[in-house]
Amino acid sequence: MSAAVVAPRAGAGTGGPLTGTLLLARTLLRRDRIGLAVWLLAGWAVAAARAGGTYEVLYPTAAARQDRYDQVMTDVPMYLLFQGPAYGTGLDALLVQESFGAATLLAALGAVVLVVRYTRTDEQEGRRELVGATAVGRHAPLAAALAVVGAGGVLMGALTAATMAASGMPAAGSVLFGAVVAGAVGVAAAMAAVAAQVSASPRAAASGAFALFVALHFVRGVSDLGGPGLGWLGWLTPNGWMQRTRPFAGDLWWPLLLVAALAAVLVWAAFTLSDRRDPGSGLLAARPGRARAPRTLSGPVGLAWRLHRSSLAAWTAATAAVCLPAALAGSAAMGQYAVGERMRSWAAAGSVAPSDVLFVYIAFTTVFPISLYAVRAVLRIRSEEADGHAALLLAGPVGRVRWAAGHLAVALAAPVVLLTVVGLCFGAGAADAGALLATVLRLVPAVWVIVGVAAAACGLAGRAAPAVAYGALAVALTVEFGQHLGWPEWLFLALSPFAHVLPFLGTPGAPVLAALAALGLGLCAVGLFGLGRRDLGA
Amino acid sequence: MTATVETRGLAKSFGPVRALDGLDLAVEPGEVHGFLGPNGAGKSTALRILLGLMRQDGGTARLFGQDPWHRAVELHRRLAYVPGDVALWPGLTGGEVIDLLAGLRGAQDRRRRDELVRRFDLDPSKKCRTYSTGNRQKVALVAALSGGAELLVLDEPTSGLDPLMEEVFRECVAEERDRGRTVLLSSHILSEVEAVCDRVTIVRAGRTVEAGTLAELRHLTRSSVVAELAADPEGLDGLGEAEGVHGLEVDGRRVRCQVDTAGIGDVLVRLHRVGLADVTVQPPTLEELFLRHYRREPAGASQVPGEAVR
Repeated sequence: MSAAVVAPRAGAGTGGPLTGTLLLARTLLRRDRIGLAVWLLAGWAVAAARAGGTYEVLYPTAAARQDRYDQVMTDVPMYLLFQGPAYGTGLDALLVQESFGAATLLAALGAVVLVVRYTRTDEQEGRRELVGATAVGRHAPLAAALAVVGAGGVLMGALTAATMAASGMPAAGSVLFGAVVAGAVGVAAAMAAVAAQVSASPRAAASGAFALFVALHFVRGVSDLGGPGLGWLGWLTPNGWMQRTRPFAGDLWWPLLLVAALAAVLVWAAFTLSDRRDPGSGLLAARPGRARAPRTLSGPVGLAWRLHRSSLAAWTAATAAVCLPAALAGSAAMGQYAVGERMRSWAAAGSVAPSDVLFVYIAFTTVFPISLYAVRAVLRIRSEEADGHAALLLAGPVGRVRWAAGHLAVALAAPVVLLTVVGLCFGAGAADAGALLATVLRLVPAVWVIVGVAAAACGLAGRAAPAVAYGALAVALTVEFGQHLGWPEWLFLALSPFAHVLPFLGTPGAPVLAALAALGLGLCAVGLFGLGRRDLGA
Repeated sequence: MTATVETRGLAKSFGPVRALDGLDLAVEPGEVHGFLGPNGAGKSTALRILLGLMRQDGGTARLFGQDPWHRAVELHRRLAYVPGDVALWPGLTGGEVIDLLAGLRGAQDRRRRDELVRRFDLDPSKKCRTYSTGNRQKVALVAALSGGAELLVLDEPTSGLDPLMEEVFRECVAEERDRGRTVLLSSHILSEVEAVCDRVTIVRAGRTVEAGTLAELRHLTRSSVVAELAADPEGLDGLGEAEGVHGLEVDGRRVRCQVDTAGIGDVLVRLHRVGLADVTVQPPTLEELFLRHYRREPAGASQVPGEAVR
């Protein structure tokens, strides 16, 4: 500890570009201790919680483990796409196979959000200037952000490894998987550092960097799904390198060198790029725009469309970019999977062709990110209020309902648009495109319920609205996972609107869909009513 | 004639903090009214209530004789607002924001808009993300001034402007008054209020402490007199006890005191009797007026002045 403190202080006298890094890092730790702790605990839980014993209960015998291995490798192709291949039939290797995707994605999500928050968001809020005017080196804010997030990654990896080893798993594999988790943090943080230099706004930097990480995860998935012929594709992504360390099934260490090298190159690039831009703007920013408002920007609804359209376009493109390759790659492989017993029983329940079951399953999982987007669109009502933008409009002849309605309209339309894209993309690879699209569109009313909860929270809860809205989505997601762990079904049905549209529990009927839609729209009305009656804060 | 803006006994609390505690304010049609008070006196809260963004806990608020909470939309057609802390959409250009905000109230005067953009020296094609505080304020001002509103509600609109732009702002306010518009200008910049306002309301800790024209307010206060006497001040005995004379200091032949405006003549006559070498009589500035209300903590005051209240 003392050595770490003394070294940078000695450097402080020389006034190099990194002067003050340690001080800033300590400030970040203190300022964001809750956010960091939540990320750390969530990442650790997802990476290592299953080492606790439930896994042995699920696969107690060699036959059960072989069955699970076959499921992953041959029977149910979504495992390869979402989670990656199993490298062995041992319990430890199977556990890591199942944890890999969620653990790396969650680790990366936190790393990206935090690095951008500590760099570009601080610049936008003007905190960077306050700090920059003190005796702090040019590169210190970025270095401090990377140091804090990097240290968080190392700690997350160490906790993961320690938990696994403590539960009796081989030490070498435990440490290797911990290193994979830390590596995901490192690569994602470095990507975010570069994105923060390049992109025009903090929002674009965070979504761009995380979208890239997710896209690379799916490139790896397509490679695994495509069989040995496409194996090279996975070697082009850091996600593929981390996957192919094969923890507990041959423990390969050298791919981690590639991960470390990539992170180092990206960090170097971020520091180099940061010399070429001004604080507060990215390299791609600040082209002048129109001096006059176009006709479409003439009222609160036009403004809402303007504020949402680029993110909606990006989400539409990203959805197509994930779904279309998955559909085309999956289509070739489906014939072989369609004959499986499991596929046929699921197909019967969901009334789709057996060869389309994979697509229905993937399409169903897209409701979670799509709901996340819709919730963010609703919460724009709250952030416009908190940022003081709403007061500008509401001081004009604009009623509160009209002001909020534009954002709500986008939030209600977004799941329709995005799920249509999902349906059309998978339709391109499906046996029965029409049935697939219809199945996917039946998911829309469930997303509307989540939209309604978020809208009601904006109207009634004000400052607590984000916590309520994200909380509702988290609960729905948790009981979805709980369902797989054998939690009671009534819990799922009571707490998740998605339970009522899950295709594998049978095709939802018109009354169910109408009830969900009415619930969602009714909650939106409650939200608008609440907005009209409470004080609007700044 | 109905007052354009009128509040009586306006009260608003945020939890334990009492932001407004009996605020009386009356703005007559066609006047430029200064709304003065230190940070945290409740000025912004009062304006937010008048704009229907918040509802008061007690008292009444009227805009054009109507309730600002229930008739917000129709009343807002007749007014324009510049917030104290102008937050704009970072992805829109200044020109787009001006057109959007001015366009909400109906027809925008294009010529007036272009003229204002030129006078305020604003580049409307830049993204709001890149504007400084002053430039964001200019965007809001141009939007408010180009819309042809009957009432302008301006919340510390010049805090980010440089002196040149402040001058432009004063000219614009004078033009608005000449057109018969009403202006409610919240500020703590006294020179600005002195330069442009007809009447002033001074608030402290959420309560009105003084209201009237500048001349009326000055009448209530004291001028400072500094005199150099031609002879030793022996004939001045009793001046210190005379009515309306305060804080007499005699230092050799130099005499200083504060005199109530009504008593100025008597004091000068008495000084003249001794013989004057030089005399300066300074009328009270708004600043002194202001400080008189804020320097002293009133007995039993429960609020902390300067407490953040928005």
